[in-house]
Amino acid sequence: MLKALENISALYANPTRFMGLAAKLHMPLWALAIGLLAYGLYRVANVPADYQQGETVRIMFVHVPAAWMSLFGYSFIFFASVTALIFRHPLGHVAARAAAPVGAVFTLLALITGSLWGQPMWGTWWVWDARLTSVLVLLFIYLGYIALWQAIDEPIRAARAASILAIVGFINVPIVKFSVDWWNTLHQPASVSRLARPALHADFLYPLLIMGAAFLVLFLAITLTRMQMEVLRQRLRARAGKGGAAHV
Amino acid sequence: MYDIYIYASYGVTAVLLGGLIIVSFRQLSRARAHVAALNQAASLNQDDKKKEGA
Repeated sequence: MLKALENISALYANPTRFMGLAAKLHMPLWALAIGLLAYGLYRVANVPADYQQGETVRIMFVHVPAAWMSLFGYSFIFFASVTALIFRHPLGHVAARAAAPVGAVFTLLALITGSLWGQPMWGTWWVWDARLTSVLVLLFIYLGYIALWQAIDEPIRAARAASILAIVGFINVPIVKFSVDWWNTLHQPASVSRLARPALHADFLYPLLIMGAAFLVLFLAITLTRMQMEVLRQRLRARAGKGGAAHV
Repeated sequence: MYDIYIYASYGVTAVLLGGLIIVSFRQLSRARAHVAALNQAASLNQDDKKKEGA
């Protein structure tokens, strides 16, 4: 299994081969994302009102998947950075840099939609509880990561510094995930993580899972598009003599 | 008829994700155009050198 993964990883370590694969995957991935999103929105439109939250429960179908993607996005950046820094995979930095704005947008979306749900449900836009604060810190880590890439002109140094920040910043991911268990928070604990016995009724659970799948495929489609752009930019930088495409 | 918070949530989602998608595709097409222009310039240079050599 590990050997097979190594072989696949080595096969697509070459950016030219990766671009060939990305060109093949590009359209099917976007078609799947749009299809899942359309089906998810159709299911959400037919969800009954919740007995406590009323129609406001519909905000959950964008808030929860966006929050999942904020954590998934950072985990993606972490593993890509580890692959680049430790295993010297040439596409590691490309993948990490491409995913950063996508993860940041999903984190911002989770914060804004959470706030829009909090006002009618909790009576406040914001509270400094552990979950909300740790997600805000996650957004700042994303922004810091993006800013670090922009701040250093030399691509190899920028990639190394950004990777170290990404790896150190990963400490915040379990804090976000378990903040509702470790501290007494206004934010409710996880309702879907116990798949064997989820706290949600099937009427809400399946549309939520479909929207989660749609956001995941959308994340991958946007990241793949941005990875292609990053590879092309590296080629341009390499031609301009500003840094080797083979290294970053 | 839903309340303003629901419309705002889906509106913000559409604007943020739509904006990110548009920016990503625009950046990709610009990078492709730059690479294509450089490739064309390089092939023209090679043609000129061949002509000079002949």
